[in-house]
Amino acid sequence: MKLDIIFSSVVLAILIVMMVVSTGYPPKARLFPLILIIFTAGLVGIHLIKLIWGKTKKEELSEVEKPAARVSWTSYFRAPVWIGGFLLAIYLLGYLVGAALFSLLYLKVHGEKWGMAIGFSLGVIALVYGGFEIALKTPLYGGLLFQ
Amino acid sequence: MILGLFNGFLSIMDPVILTYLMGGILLGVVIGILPALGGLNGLAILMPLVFGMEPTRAFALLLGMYSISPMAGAATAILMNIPGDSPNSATLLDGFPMTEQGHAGRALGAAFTSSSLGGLVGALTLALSIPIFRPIVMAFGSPESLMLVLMGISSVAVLGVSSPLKGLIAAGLGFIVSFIGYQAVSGFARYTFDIPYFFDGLDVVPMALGLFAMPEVIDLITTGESIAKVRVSTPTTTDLWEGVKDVFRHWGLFIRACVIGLIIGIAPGVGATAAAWMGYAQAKQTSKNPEKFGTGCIEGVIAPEAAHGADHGGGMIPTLAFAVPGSGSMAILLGILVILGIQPGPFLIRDHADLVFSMVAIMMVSYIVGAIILICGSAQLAKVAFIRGHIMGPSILILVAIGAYCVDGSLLDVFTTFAIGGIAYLMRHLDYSRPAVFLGFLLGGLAERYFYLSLGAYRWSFFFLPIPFTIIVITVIMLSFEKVYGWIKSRF
Repeated sequence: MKLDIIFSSVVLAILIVMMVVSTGYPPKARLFPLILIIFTAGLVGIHLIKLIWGKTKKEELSEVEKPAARVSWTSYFRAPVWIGGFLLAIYLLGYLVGAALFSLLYLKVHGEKWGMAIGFSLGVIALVYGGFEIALKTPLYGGLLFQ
Repeated sequence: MILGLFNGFLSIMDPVILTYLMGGILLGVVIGILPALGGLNGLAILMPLVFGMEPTRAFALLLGMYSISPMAGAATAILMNIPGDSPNSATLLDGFPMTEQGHAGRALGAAFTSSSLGGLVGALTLALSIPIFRPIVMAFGSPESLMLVLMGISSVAVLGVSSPLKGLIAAGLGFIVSFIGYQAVSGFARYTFDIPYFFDGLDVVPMALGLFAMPEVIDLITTGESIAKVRVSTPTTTDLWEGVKDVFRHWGLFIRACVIGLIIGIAPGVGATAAAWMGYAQAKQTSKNPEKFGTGCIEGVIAPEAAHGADHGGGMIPTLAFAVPGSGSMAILLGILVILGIQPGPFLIRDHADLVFSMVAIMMVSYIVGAIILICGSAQLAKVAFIRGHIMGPSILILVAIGAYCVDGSLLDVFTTFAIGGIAYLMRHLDYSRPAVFLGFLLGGLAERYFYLSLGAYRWSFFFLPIPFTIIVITVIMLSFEKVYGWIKSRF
């Protein structure tokens, strides 16, 4: 519930900023967005009030949405670190080298054997170079260090 | 209709299109069996690949995958008690007990047969409905189209979710994100804050990948676990064939489940998972031995699979006829139409009837071929689900990064995808409806255009025109029915 309050507060703040910014637009540019922003901000406000006053009843998880995995608190930092590292690798080394190195490192850190890790990385290279650069003639980003 | 369907089949009898179709079917088998994915995420991940593709080829790939995914997901549900796709969650109630009793083959045969036959029923219904809807859509102008869009979005936002308020907030946020960039009506740049990347607004592909695929990647990397650990027994051919015959023995149940699936599919915002559960519920209610459900009853496998199979075709009716998606997956289908340069909305059936019939033909062929592949390959299927989670995580991450880059050859799209993914993960954790966000984003521009056209022609009185007003009343009834019925029930 605390996280929901923070999220809703941030959303409400952004909507208020957008409302203020909209007032500087010409009439046709601001009418429809203002209607939606005010409507959504109103709903967020109602939701915040319900949260803060503790009147929100415990909601069952939807069948459409998959339930979040039960993990330890520190595990939530794992994903941003790996994904951030992956992005950095792509930015600096490009898809061909960056994605392959990321795969190799990720699999080795998670206990895979060298054969599997190297094979997977070669598969990534085959996909990027063979699949996209050769077959589809769609060159992917080459990396800042190689430009 | 018959001529249209015949031409639809002819149009896909091309070696290249059939290759795409087979590729889609095989992808559907893999995606369906892997519990972390599912048809909706599969559509989002494959979306970037269809840029610039000829529409029939694109739909051969995508619908081939989408049609087979929940059918294949039944294998994981029956063999490992893990739903491969969310509509399979009802199937495992009786499917897995049958595996424990040594009748896995019978359950699999019944599941694949009822799902594929249900899908054929849905596809045929779609084909039959096209000539009916074509004259109806001619009566629709801007006010009617606007109300349909709002009805569709609010249905997805409110129905089938745990918190309607959060669903509407999600839809509103999706709308608001769609306003970023140059407005079509005035040419004025809105909410760009002078950042050139935002001048053209956000693209459909980063939104889809970020909203649907990235949270799964984050989950896989966060949990770091294998998906399945259970030992699996090999189904026998005799058992499989017995399951196939079971569907025809219970033909009344099968038909009832298909009707439920069609109705749920046509109703916007509900989805295949609800269809499967309602199919299961009616099977139990109408059974002579309801106490046997949950202990390995074959009817408990046939009904949900038939229902969600029929739901596919039913869901495409409002999606293609009125741009009102039957489910989150249909919302992505609308996005794919946009990518292919086809404007979704009431005139799609009028202007692209040949494409619609091709889609029907693709679905029908997918169901038949997919069922044959699954029945013949059922002994090997289960092994796919043992792919370790920390192999799937980077695989999907790389595919998402490539897909996002292919939009415009810009790393900014990749960063945007990952940023949206982080927000989407949080939204999923907090139970906000991501299909509602995506739909609001997708149809926001269209809704605004219809709004200004309606305002220009009728002023504010367009709300009170007969058809728009009727749609408003239907929407209010649909959204408030559950609350009002619950209140009446508690009073009396």
